[in-house]
Amino acid sequence: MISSFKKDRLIRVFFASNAVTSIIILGLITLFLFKEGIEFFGQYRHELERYRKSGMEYASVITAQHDDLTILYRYLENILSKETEALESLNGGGLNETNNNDGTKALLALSRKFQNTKEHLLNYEKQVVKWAAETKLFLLTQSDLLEIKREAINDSLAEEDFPETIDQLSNRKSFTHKELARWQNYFIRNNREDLAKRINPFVGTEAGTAKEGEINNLTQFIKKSSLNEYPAVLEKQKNEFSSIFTEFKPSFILPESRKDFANASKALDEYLDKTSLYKERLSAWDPQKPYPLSRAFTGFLFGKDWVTNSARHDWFGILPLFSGSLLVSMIALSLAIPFGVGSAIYVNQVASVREQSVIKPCIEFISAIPSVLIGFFGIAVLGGMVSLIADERLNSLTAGFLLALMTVPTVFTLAEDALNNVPRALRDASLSLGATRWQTCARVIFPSAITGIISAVLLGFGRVIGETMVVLLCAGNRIAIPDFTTGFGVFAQPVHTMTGIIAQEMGEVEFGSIHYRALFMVGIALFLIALLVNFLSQAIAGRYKTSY
Amino acid sequence: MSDHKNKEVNPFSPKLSREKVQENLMFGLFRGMTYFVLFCAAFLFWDILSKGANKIFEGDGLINWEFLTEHPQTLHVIGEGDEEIKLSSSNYYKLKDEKILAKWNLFAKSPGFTSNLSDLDNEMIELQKEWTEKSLQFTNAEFLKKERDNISNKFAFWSDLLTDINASARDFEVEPQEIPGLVSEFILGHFEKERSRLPLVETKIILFRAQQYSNIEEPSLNTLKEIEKAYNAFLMKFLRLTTRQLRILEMKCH
Repeated sequence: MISSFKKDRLIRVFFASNAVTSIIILGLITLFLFKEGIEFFGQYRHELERYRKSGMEYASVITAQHDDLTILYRYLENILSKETEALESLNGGGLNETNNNDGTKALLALSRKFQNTKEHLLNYEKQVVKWAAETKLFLLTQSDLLEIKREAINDSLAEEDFPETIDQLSNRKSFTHKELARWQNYFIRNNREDLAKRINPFVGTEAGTAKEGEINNLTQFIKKSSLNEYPAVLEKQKNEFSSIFTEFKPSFILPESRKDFANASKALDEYLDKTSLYKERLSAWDPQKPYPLSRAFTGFLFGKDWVTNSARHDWFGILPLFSGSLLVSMIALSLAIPFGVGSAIYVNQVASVREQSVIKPCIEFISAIPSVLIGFFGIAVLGGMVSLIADERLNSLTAGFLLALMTVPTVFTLAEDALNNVPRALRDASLSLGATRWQTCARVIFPSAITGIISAVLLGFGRVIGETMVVLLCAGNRIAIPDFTTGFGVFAQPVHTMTGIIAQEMGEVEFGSIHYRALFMVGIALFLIALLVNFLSQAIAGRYKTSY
Repeated sequence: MSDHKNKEVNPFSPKLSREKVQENLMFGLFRGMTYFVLFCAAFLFWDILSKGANKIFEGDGLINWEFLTEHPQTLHVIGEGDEEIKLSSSNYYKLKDEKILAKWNLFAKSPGFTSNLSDLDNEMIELQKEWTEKSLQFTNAEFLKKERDNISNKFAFWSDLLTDINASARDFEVEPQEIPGLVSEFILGHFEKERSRLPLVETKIILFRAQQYSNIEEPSLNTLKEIEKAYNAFLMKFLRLTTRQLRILEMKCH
């Protein structure tokens, strides 16, 4: 009696310890995930501050302005190419169209002059980017020097030829390559190769620094140029644009070209009106203005760009990845729900026992197919089929189809269980009252099982959004928010997903870098979504359980 | 007529009411969906199995054992059009060896081959003898001397530059005050070259340069002498050590 009691207790302790170990491991994983990810915001804010302090923020405004002009130039080029095509077809017909030829030549001259005028801004942009790039390198060098100086102080290294204090280093506006070399050798002498490696005595020489043999903080140059050079460029552009458009005598072959040209003139006027806004924005630019931490949060949650290893600035906005994941999931669920639930209803309510014994294991077996195999099939076969209706082989539609196939078993199994759990009495009562089998199914059984079916759908969503291999192989991996204005065309666009980006980039990032932490933040976002989906499905299932 | 009337009132005749049509349609749709899912899964399996089986059963025998048992290899494609042959790496190299052997056999049968081979053998023996006579120790002693001569020439040149600063400035077309900086650059450049030339003592050279950095940065005639002396001592110490290691290696090889 006593030994059996002890045995029971031992078994209970064994299982309890297993459960506790699982919970502890899960807790540690969650803790690690949050610990690594949460530091991202501090680092991102620091990076954004460097982006502002270096002048890259200023340069990006000029780039945006130049992009506006480029769009306008492309518009003019488009009119020119249509006109040239029309002229060639006329000449091909043997007609002497001297007037039209002159008109096209004038349009060509206008485009060239437009491009030359556009280049004033481009040259200014190049100059600003060069200044900003040097300043960025200076700031990185300064931040590294401050860190290693702190370590030297902590390790009580002799001052020797690195006597500069933290304050002195913080207030410096330039470093010469000679002193950087001296400090590097100082650390080598003191057997600190790890710190010596962090100093590059030739920093900035590859791109060419403003002064030979040193690296400078050039934000003052940029600030000054916003008051002198930039307004001068704008004024010059305005005068040149007005003169080239006044001198141009329009003579078009195609009637729509006249309309297009009128639109181009209107767009140019709009651009010229907008320049005052750019001017205001640039003169208000303050490199010392701090970035609030909230900008790091909003930058991550609502940022439209995910750009890494950029010469200018790395952006970590989750929106393109989230929208990609959501689009693929929606396509997959829009197929998996009707097929999964429909199959569940058929198997549960209509199919014979023999049919059931074949269909159920077959559908459930789909979930046993390795996802890499499904992805491989997507690349090799389905991609080719999809390319018949879309420009790209690998896009959200390809990934969506395959994910739908992978999700059907989840939805099917859970929905079938939910239908099975509806008391038989309800079905019998409905049939005995004269309802048909379909009426019973649609109006009695399905509504009774709806909570279980919703729970099945939510778990299916969890399965889809967490799937990695298929989306990595088949979604096209273009990091951009899908263009929803294209209507159904949005389904044919390649996308990247949250899971895909982690799988693709985690192996290549530097440990502890901002990119590494950004990927952890994406992981946390996925974790929270999965948690929410599970919580909702459990809540719904709980309600379902209490109903009967 | 009466038959028709009877049929209408007959309660056992099958009725195709609107509800029944709807039921048939809906259940038909669900059946279609179910079998479509099964068809998709079957198509996927069939596609993978058929393409995979093609590879397993290709070749001369019933089963392609080479594919199942050998490591993944590069596919070699030889020839063009109808003469195109696809070979695995092992088969490709086997074929290559066979062709080389055939060519060799043809060559070995050519007149004068044996006498040429014996001349070549004699030449090899002479070379071997010469190589053994010039021991590694002898080469290293030479190397050390050459190094010392080389460094002494370099330091003499840099000292000359500093001795007559005005003449050096004229030669290099710079200001006289820039000459020490120029010498400093020359010395740093020398150590950079030494680092890549002597990889076995690279870290020691970096450490030596770091220790002498204040002298190198602002060189004078006195500091140059100090650096030269220190560098000679450095060469003696570390190059000797290195040569000793090489000697041990040489003995092991023999």
